[in-house]
Amino acid sequence: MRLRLQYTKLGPARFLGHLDLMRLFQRAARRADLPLAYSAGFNPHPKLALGPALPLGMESEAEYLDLECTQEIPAREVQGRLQEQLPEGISVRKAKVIDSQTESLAAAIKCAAYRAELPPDVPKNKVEEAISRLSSQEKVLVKRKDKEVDIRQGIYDLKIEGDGGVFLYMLVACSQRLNVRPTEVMEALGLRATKPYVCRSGLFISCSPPLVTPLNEIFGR
Amino acid sequence: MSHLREYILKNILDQVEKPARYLGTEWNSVHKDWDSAQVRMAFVFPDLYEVGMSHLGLAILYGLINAEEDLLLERVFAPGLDMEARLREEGIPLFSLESYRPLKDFDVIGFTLQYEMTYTTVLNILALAGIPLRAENREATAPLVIGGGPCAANPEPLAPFFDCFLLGDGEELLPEFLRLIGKLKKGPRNRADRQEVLREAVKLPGVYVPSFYEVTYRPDGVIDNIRPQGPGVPEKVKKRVVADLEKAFFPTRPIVPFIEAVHDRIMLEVMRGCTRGCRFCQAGILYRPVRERGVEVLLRQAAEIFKATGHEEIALTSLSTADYSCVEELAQKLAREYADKGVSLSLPSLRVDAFSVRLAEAIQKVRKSTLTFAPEAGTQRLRDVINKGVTEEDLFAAVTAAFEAGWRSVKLYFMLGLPTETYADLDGIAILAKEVLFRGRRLAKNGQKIRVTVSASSFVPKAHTAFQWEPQEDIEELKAKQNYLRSRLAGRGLEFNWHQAEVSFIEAVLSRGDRRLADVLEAAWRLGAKFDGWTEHFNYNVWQEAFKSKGIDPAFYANRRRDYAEIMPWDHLDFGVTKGFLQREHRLALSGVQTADCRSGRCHGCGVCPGLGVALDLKKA
Repeated sequence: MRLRLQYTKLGPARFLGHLDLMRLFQRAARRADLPLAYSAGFNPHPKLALGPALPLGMESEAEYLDLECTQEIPAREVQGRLQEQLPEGISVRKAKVIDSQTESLAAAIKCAAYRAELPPDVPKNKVEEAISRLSSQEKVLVKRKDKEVDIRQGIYDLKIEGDGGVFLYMLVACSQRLNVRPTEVMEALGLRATKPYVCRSGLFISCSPPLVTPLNEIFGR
Repeated sequence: MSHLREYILKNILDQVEKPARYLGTEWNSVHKDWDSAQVRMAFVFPDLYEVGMSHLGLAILYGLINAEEDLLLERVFAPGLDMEARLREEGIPLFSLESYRPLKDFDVIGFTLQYEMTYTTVLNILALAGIPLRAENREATAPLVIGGGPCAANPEPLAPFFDCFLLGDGEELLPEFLRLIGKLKKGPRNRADRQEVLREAVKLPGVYVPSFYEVTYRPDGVIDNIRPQGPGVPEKVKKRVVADLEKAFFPTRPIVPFIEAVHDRIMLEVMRGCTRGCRFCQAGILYRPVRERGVEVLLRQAAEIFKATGHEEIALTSLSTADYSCVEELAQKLAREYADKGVSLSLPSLRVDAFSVRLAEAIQKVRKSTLTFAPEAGTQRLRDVINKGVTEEDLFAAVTAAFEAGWRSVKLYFMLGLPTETYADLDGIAILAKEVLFRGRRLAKNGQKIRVTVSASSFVPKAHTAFQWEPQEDIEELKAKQNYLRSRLAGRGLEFNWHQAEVSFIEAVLSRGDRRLADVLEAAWRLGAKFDGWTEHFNYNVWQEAFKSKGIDPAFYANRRRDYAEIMPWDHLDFGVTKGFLQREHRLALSGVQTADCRSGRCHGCGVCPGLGVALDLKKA
């Protein structure tokens, strides 16, 4: 049976790299004595897949993980048993049995939402101006290693949020075809981008409202 | 959460490499209540996190001490260079990973001394902690700086920086030592007086207090005398031995690191000690006698550790696991037990014979690409000199078995500059390697490529070994030999790599050095030496300058043949093996006569068992 889990990566857990996290979940699942399915071959590894990698140092409120078990086991029980074996900052929020034909996380996920806390010295209207300027641009070129990439088509929504503090909400492409980094968007807006103040708030399988999560739920409902 | 931790997580960890090294909240890490502990110790591994977290000794002592209600032990590693720079910039003294308390807050700072090339990192850590380097410059109530591990067999170059050293197995001695401090402290918030602790601790067998010994030198630089000073200070300090390994503490909830450690797996210590008697090998002497654990105990330990860690690999560790009497039985049972749990077994060291390869083939489901063997020398003559006990037939049988089992790459370890070595022995290495390659190609299936790697380290004479009187060849000669071998090992399918001769030279100076080298160590550290075991950080010029500035000739320590009558800097440290035995072994070496393993039942009188009141403990005849 296949299961899809939603979990957080907050606090100290933001310092765990993608491969470290993979190993951490595999070991946690073994400690929880879950009936994991293993790949065939000389070097069998558990059938456990994570969604798109989060940059080291960034927090997330909703990451996803797929795993496969050899026996039927209630999703709630998997969630509970796994949670007991996880460190501070990683909490499994949801777990659902999914169909064996369901698209993998890597293939299904199309976009990501990020929330960045803006420094108090940045006036709100300046950011709004920058957003409208960027929205009217046809291209937004960013440097990646030795090539230039146009990320404009992968920027779906930008807006200011929050009453007290000022937050920038970014909905951008996060797929195998195009991945837009929140720091690139912030730089394009002329903002300082520091990782601790950026958080991934969601991953979606659609790019425009209604935003659908990999658990087939409509975001915000 | 400590304020310091909060601050560092928020302001520093985003700017350093591998930040998870510094989190301290790994699975199974122990966060004890600071105030309810009577005695608190920081256990320092003077190298990077990934290296230190691979060390079984740390796991043992961490579990052992923290299992005691009144004691507390927290970890400290050398911070990476980027982290060190940030800590210095912000004026943050080095802290422990669990409570993020500065090292100065602990009663004891204990360094594990695994290899000589960490010595400058030891000094760097003391400096980062804001602790004066020399014991004599520290306050009466400063933390006790102690050391243990293999380099405590001759800790003399470090003597002025340490309060004391604990010799031998730590499972019994360390709690005794910490409790003694507890007794001398006037309440958990107070600090014991260091001198008072040392005066009492010296009565515990296994505790060596260097400042209680006066060392005098002859005009030619050789030691004249080592004299104990004061009442109760023993002439010789005997190492401690845990007589029954089955009853000794073994950690069943080891920490699961967040980032990958060098060896990131369940370590089952199947036995301690090795009696093969290779004459260059220090560990073979220091950990005598051989004591094994029974299969039942090991299976139970494996089950508990697996449950607590979820690791994917179990390594059967010891100095020579293929020699463990129940190795086949244990391996079969483990393989059966863990086959469907996604756990693989591994043998970190293989003996040079077909048995080892068959064993590896049977248990290592995960096929590592390379099998490694250590014939150590290229001719039978020289292997007899070093008492390696391996024949050409053994090696060929081993590699044939390996190639037949499908391995395509073999690595062979050799040592250059062994006593009596000639260029004929180097030719022997090249001939062996080519013969192995030839056999591999003959057995290779459908044109698979075969690779033979020769890896050559340089011989470093070590204290308490049969070769402790031998000189190390000088750097130029070692380099000439490396170049010679390189030219002989050119060709398709062959690869040759070698250790930096300068590093081996410094290692040779320190491993048989005396207290006068402390000045050189400090000078080298002041000139920037640290992480000397890492090729990219080692700077030989710094060391040359340090020797020069202190007027000390390193060749006196590394390249001089020593006389049997000479007093060695470590002669007052008793690891059970008698000097008479070592001399006999040395003479037998020079005449090319082998000494058999005492597992076979014949005692060669090394002195360990009667001297320390222990015995060889094998689980099967």
